[in-house]
Amino acid sequence: MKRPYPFYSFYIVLLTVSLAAGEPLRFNQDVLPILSDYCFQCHGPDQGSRKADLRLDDVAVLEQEADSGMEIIATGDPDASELIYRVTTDDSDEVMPPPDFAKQLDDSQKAILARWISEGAKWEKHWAFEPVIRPGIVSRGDQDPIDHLINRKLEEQSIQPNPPAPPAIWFRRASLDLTGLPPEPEEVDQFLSDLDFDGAVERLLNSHRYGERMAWDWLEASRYADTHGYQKDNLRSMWAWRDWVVSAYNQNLRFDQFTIEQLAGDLLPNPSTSQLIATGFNRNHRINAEAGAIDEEFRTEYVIDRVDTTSTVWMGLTAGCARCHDHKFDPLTQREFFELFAFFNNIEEKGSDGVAATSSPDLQIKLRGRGKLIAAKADELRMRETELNKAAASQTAEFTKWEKEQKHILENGNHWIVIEPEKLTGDNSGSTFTLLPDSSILFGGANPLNDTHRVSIHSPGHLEIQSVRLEALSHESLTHQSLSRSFNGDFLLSDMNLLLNGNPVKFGSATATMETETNSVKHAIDGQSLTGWSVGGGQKGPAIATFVLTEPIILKIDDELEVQLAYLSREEQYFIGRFRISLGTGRPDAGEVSQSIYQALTERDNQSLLREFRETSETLQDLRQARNTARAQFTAAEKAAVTRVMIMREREGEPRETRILNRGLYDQPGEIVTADVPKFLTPSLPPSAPRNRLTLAKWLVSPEHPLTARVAVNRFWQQLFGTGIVKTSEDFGRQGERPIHPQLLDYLASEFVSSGWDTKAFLKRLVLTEAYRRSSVISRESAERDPGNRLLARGPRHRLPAPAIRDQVLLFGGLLVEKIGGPPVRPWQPAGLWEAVAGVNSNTTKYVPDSGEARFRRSLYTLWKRGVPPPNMILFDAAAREACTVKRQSTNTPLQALVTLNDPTFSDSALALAARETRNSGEDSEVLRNMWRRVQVRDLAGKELSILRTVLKTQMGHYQSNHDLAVQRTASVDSVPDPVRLAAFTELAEILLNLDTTLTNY
Amino acid sequence: MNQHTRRQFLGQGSRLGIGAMALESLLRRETGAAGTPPSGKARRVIYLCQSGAPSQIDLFDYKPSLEKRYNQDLPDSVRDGQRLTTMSSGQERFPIAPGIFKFKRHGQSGQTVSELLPHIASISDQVCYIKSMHTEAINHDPAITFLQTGAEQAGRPSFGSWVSYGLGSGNDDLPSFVVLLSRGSGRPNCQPLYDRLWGSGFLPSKHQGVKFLSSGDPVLYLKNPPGVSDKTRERNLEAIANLNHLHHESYGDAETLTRIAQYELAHRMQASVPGVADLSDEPESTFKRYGPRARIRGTYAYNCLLARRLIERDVRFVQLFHMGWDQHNALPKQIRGQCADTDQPSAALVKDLSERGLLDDTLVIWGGEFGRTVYSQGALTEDNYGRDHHPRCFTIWMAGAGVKAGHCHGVTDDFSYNVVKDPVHIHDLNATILHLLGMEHEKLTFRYQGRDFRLTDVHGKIVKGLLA
Repeated sequence: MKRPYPFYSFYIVLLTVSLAAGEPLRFNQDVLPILSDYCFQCHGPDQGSRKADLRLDDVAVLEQEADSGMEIIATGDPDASELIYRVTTDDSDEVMPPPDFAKQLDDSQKAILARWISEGAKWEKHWAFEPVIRPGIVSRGDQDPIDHLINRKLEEQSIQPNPPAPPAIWFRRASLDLTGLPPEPEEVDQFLSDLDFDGAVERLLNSHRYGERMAWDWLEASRYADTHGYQKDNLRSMWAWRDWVVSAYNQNLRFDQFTIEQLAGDLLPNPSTSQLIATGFNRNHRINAEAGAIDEEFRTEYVIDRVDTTSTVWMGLTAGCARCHDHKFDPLTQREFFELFAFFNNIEEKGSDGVAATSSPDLQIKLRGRGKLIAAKADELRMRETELNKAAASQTAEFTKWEKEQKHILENGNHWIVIEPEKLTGDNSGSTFTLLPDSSILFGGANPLNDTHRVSIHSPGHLEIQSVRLEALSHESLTHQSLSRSFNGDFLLSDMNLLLNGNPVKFGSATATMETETNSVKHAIDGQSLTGWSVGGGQKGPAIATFVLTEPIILKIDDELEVQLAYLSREEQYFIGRFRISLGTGRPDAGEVSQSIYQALTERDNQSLLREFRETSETLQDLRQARNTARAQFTAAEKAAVTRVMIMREREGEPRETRILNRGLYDQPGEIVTADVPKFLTPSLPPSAPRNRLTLAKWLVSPEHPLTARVAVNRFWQQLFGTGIVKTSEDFGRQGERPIHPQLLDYLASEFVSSGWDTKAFLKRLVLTEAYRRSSVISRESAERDPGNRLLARGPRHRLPAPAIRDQVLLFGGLLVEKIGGPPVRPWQPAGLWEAVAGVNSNTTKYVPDSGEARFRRSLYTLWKRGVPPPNMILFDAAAREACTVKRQSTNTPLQALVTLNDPTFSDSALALAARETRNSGEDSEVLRNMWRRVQVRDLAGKELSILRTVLKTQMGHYQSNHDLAVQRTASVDSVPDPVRLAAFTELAEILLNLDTTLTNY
Repeated sequence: MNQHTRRQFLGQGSRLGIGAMALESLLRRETGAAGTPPSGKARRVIYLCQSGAPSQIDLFDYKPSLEKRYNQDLPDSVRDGQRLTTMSSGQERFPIAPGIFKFKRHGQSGQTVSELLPHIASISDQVCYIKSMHTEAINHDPAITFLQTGAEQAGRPSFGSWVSYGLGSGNDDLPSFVVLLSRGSGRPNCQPLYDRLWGSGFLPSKHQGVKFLSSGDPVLYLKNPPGVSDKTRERNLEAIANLNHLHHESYGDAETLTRIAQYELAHRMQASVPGVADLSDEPESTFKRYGPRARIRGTYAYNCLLARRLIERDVRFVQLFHMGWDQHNALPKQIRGQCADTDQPSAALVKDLSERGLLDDTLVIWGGEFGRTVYSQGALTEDNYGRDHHPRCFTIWMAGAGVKAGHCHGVTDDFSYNVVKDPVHIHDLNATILHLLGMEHEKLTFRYQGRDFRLTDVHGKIVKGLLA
């Protein structure tokens, strides 16, 4: 049966006009994008949204009939194809896509479909999922086959490639692309004297700057940051992983090994510390510490993030689309998404975490080169301890006197009884209380915003109680081994209440060994829930509060006492993490005897007595202080010699069950699945291999994998040429762009693998190609024929990435401090940015810039707070580090101009550059030439010189008549002999730093 | 700088030696992705985001029958398995806490508004109250990210970015999307905010919101370095432009011309931004209207006034965030503080825009990321209670261009717990707002990772009932 096809002949006519008749259409290149874009929404891989049981993404459609009885696609006969009828009919009930669909086919697209069918409807699988095919290349002398492939395409299109760029320009280009910094004048001189391109590239690749440059892009891909993100956005410690990346690049770790260690270093046999650190890649996702967050909801998010990131980075797959349903465009089912999920679903982690600097699983790492300092501090400490001990032992008279005093107090009945509680509860459920051997109580479990903790006891005997002592103690489970689980280890006790047989007993006064100015302990007995007792963040205690009753109470045996610790202020989760309660008998103002002294005295333990004397005697105050200082320095040195980093580590025992989550929601689990790779990708996993991350990683880097090498070389290409051979470097699926040069991409992929995944060698080869060395001049014709330079007749030209823009001005000014690695630094940024958005309960509420060299480190080391990233990076299109990013934009905005003109980092660098150059040479014109050459890496031309001379003369005149302005302009430089001249040259430096040629790699 | 000299200065600025062609192409008021100048009833938006989630029960959603149910347990049939945050999921019981604030009918349209908001109540005839809003997340971070970007996960463009992308800039020398932040006095430890709430996600970064700061330069890096006079800077910019032209002559990259023009624009922003932020030309009556705190930089009142000044200069999208609406405990005390911050200035803004004729094509939106529970979190007493997060219903109001004025949309049950009539999902609201701006929410797309992303994801229906 045939249907009327009123428009078809029209399309054929149109077709001959719009398309050159020559080559037949290619399914992947010409047809699939149309089907994918306009049809797959309802007729694609997603079973759930498929209509009319028709899928146009599968070759089986060539055999299928429509309900009308027509073939859907009648090979060679568009007239007889339901598809063509449906896209051309004007019957609004039948036309496809339906009239209310957001996207509608245009005439040329309909014509392509018709022509493809008339040419035989040849079907192809999606190119990226097919194996890499190394093209046969006819070599021409010593020309790199890469250039051969590029030039052949240019010849086909009759495009004349540009001549090579001047050597200095190439050198700047390669330096910026490979090291993130331009070459310095001496390096340029050296290169120009020998024109040894090969040697120049070797030097760049062997510079430590190379690893730092490469690491930036990898940090963006892995969503690295120095805070946990989400709402609290507390500091996290992952910089050891960042340093691992720098070092891996600098040591040229093979890309397959680079992959295996990051995805599964922990599963290698006897993994090294370095291999464990590498797995931090999959812990760089955000972690939520928001009060009230449901654990499993966020744990699920983290695992999904790992699947998304790993898929994008290694396979260019947008797997995240299959979280809720089968992928709409690619053949990835929701089941397969959760099979990938299962690989990453088996570490001992919590969804609600991210308060402390690392979350489980993590690793403590010893840092190299700290031993000497620690040993010196340990020696110092021992010396001070010996001094103190000796002095204490020699103070016999004092000691005897002290002992007598203590005994006296004890004999008066003034001592504490440490209580052993019978019942411990919190008003909010979920909290746990553990009684430790020293009778202290450790608080754990749920961590609600506010709560009241109740401690019940029965009276141990007939006693007169005058006071209650509350000790807040440190514990390793608390934030930074402090006194609390709150973000900074501080607590706020709103009220301390005591009940005797259910009746409140009043406190008259309170004192504490530690308290803050605003939250003194007396606020804990003022009956107001919003005020209370705090000791400040980071304290390790013990902090001891003594509450004195207005009237003593007499306890009989079996009387019930309840001590209530109420935490009802507006501070969230400000609970004492470990505490001990004692009852005071007698009058505390007559002095006090601690439990240990009490015991030492009753047990006649002289050793303990001496220790108590040493720690409390006033005459030993100075020596004790010296010992304490030495101890603090030793502890600090030890602390600085280790860092922690989050890693991947499998749970013990049975792996966690993975279920398909209906609509991707954590609370809607469905069928159980086991870890596996998507079926549409070859090879499949070896049946005997364990289904774990190591198997997954090895699968990714198996030479037969169709995606990994293609995706990797495409990103390197993008780094150097500005645009990938596949423009959509984040998506190699059907919705992604087809490679502009498929043979070139496959050639590069096969070369990369056969070279042993040698990244440095690969990059070296690329920067030495003719294509990379070409001049980037854009002729009018070239701009019209190939505006995006996809065919590479011109050399690359792109705006510098954000870090290079900042780093190079520091280099020009001679300010750059090239220290590799270490904890993140806080260079200058405008005041108030963190404060403006801060909540109280976070440790990133206030930005305090570092002083000294930390201000001038490379941008790679700048502390990255996800909630407020460094503005001069974000304004230049740096990724926000919330989620995996493998392709940046390059925009051109007025706010960028304000950065390079007015950001003090830039204006100070301009001043430093001017100071440096005016110091080095005397003649104005020489200063001009040198400054120009330092920034522009080429010689100053006549017209440029005359523009600069004119403005220099004017600015000089201006500052001569405004001497005070010259002084202000140069104020941040010490001892300026001639502020007018320096100020004028600073203006020149500002001009140079803001030129298009400075901001562009061309 | 007074008005007169500022104009002179701007005049000089545009006579810099900058390529006339580039300048012209850049300064032409852009049209956005929508391809045409704004065709909707609304041309500009002011979004008054109340961060932390205001209690609908205490402010708008009047439930007189609750009084009789004081301290009774919330019936399970009402909660119906609704998931709760871990802050209250462990509570032994869920005692009903009727609001303690009085409600009255206001305006000819007879809207019920709490005594906490007398000023907003007074503009009720200009307002459309949507009492049937609902959303999905139960924690602040995902919920406010959803409100602002249409997705709970980070990384999508914000509402303002979409509008800037869709409609382009409305002015020559200010950003198209401006963000203003203030802290609440009700709850000092506010929920924090984060830059991604006004980020551009995968849209070009020129569409990201530009914060006007409450201390230092109003816009980052606005001020010249010390000692640099305007004249000095202009000479430098001229030299930069000339040298860039030389480069362009030999290299032919159009991007160079764009850069020349962006420097020009930056220079004009340096002149125009301080003028917008300088309130000295406002008469005394302005401060009467917005309240005395409108004189204090960084307050909500100041930001409302600044929003009006930005809208007057055709900034496309002004987004306020006021923190501190998260009343888990001590709600009565805290909410009084929040209302004192926001009531008068919010209403003043609507009235002011209306009198200036700007409300005809400016849309004002007031609301937070979710609602609050009818049951008390923590202890319930006669005069004190707290409320946990509640995504199933809450109230947002809108006023201005194309919105049905003096209207109340949607109904909740007797417990202000479930929507019983005309539910409006965040996606529906967003679709409707885009419609008012003349854009079809299904067509305002940007391709990223192979997908045509939308503010409304694959959801959203225009709510006709909200339209005038």
